[in-house]
Amino acid sequence: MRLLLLEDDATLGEGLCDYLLSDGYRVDWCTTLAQARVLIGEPYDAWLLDWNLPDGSGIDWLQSLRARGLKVPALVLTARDRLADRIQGLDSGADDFLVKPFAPEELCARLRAISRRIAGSAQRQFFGAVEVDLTAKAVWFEGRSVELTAREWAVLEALVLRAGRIVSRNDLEALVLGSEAELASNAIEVHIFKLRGKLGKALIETVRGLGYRIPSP
Amino acid sequence: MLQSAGLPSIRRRVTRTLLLVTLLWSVLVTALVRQVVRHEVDELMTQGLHESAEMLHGMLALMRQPGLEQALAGPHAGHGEHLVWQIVAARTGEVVGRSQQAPERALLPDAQAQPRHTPDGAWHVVTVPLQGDLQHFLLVAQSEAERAEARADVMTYALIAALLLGVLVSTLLSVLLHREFEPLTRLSRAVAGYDPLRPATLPGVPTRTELLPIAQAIRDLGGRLAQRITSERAFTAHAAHALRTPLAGIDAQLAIALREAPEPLRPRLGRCRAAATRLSQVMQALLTMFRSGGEPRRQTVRVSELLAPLAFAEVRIDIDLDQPLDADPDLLSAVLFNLLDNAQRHQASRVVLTATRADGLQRLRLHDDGQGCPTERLEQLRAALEHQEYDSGGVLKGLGLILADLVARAHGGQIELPAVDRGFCVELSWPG
Repeated sequence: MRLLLLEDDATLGEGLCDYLLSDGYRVDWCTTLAQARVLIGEPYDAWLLDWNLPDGSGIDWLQSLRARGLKVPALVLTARDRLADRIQGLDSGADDFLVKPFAPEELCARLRAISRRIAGSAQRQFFGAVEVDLTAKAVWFEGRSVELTAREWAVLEALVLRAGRIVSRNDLEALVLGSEAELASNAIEVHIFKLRGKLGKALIETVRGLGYRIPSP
Repeated sequence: MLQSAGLPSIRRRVTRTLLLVTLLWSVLVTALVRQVVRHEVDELMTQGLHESAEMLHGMLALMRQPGLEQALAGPHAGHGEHLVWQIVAARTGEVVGRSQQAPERALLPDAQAQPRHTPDGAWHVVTVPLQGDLQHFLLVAQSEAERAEARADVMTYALIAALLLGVLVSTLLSVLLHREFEPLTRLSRAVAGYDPLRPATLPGVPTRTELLPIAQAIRDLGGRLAQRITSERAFTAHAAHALRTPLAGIDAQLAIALREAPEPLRPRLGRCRAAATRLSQVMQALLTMFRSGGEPRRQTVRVSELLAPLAFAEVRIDIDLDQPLDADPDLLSAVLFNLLDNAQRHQASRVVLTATRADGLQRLRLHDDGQGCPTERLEQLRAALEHQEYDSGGVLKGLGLILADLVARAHGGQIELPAVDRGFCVELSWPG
């Protein structure tokens, strides 16, 4: 999953960023709303937003994003623990609310829950002969467990989370490679090729001129 | 709650004082009347005697005409006489004429200008020499018993009148006091329901001038309190942000450090993270508990749900009964964490939790198998908790029991430390 983390506290931001990266997430970390506004056009699987930021309110910003029709799941990280704050946060468009201090393990658990909600309620999803468990980060082909590299898993996860929809090559690059996309222009094709080799050619469909698609489970 | 038992009542004190004043006043009035009677009524009665004597003398002068003497000596129609008269022979002292109730013997042997008492004190006598008859004199007397009765009657009626007046005044004053204290009672009720943060509950303007300073003082106090609470809430919000974010940062850094650290360093980092978690829990408990004006946010909770996020590796936690409780989950969670932490630090290896709800009372009991507490110290702890003497002589050293006590009280309940054979036991109970 590719995440936008908006957190102004350096210790927390860096810690979360590193922890999420080590857990297989792609994270873009911003410390101000101004930085986040530049990145908001990127395809993210979830936003992690702090409430109080040096140049404004994360909740107000989220509300404006929802008003623009952006539906990326948002998880608000905040020190505010009052019931009224939680209600305001959820009413402003947050999908979940995590009160600081929290363990990064809990954050990851909530992200997994978000990914399950995106992909459907089932823990395991079946795409023909391929079975995918996003929570366990595991995949099976014709009943056999298949080992994937982190990048291969990231490509598969990005497509599974958008099953039934076409994901452009650029978006896939952004989701999987981020800023490294410019350095390796054919990296996505290489990973798709390897995935087809491990999981069968039928799983990932190429839509000419538009991108790639995994059919709905 | 303040107890009224043993405190004097203003109304009762004023009424009692009024009654005492009435009694004293009655006694004084009676004494005064007695003096007046002694001097004025006595004088009046004596003057009456004189006047009677004068009248009799005049009549006797008329009766001394021939033929009338016989009538003088004859019997009179019977009636209750208050005044008696005698005509006494001056030389022999013999009574030559008398009224019906007058004694047969002369009351006094001679005539003198001043009124006198008979030697036995039974009569008050006025003597008048008969004009033109030096052989006889007139004696008019009044019974001393009759005079005493007159005096007593006057004093009795005066006393009764004074007492009746006093009792009437006392009763009227008592009723008046009751009515005058009613605005104070209303003000007390209004103050009891006053919440400085809800202006609608502000006591209204009292209906008595004397209560205005009190009402104004309460308003000022409420205003200051509201200002203080607002400031403290703002401070708590700032403090929460200032503390929560760095703690989350510490935990995130330690979590990733644990992943990246070489194996020998991991136990040390794990202990650091556990300590940071504990610090975080304590901080959250304090922020929650001391959030000014924060009433418990009650909801139905189970102890097992509250325990889930609390990790105590060195203590086995068994739940004996897990009935749903109506309580603030954050506060109860903070209590559980701190009490379990206490148990762990006192070498407990097992804690049994019991959550029950029966007979309108909810109970949460934690019983550990740790070092326990000597009886004497247990008594000190009980006393310190009962009187909320959290700083008395260092009896309460940790946060756990204080927090449990505060949370129990916030829910309208209390904390108890039951005596147990082994280990230490804490029981929180509150209505519901």
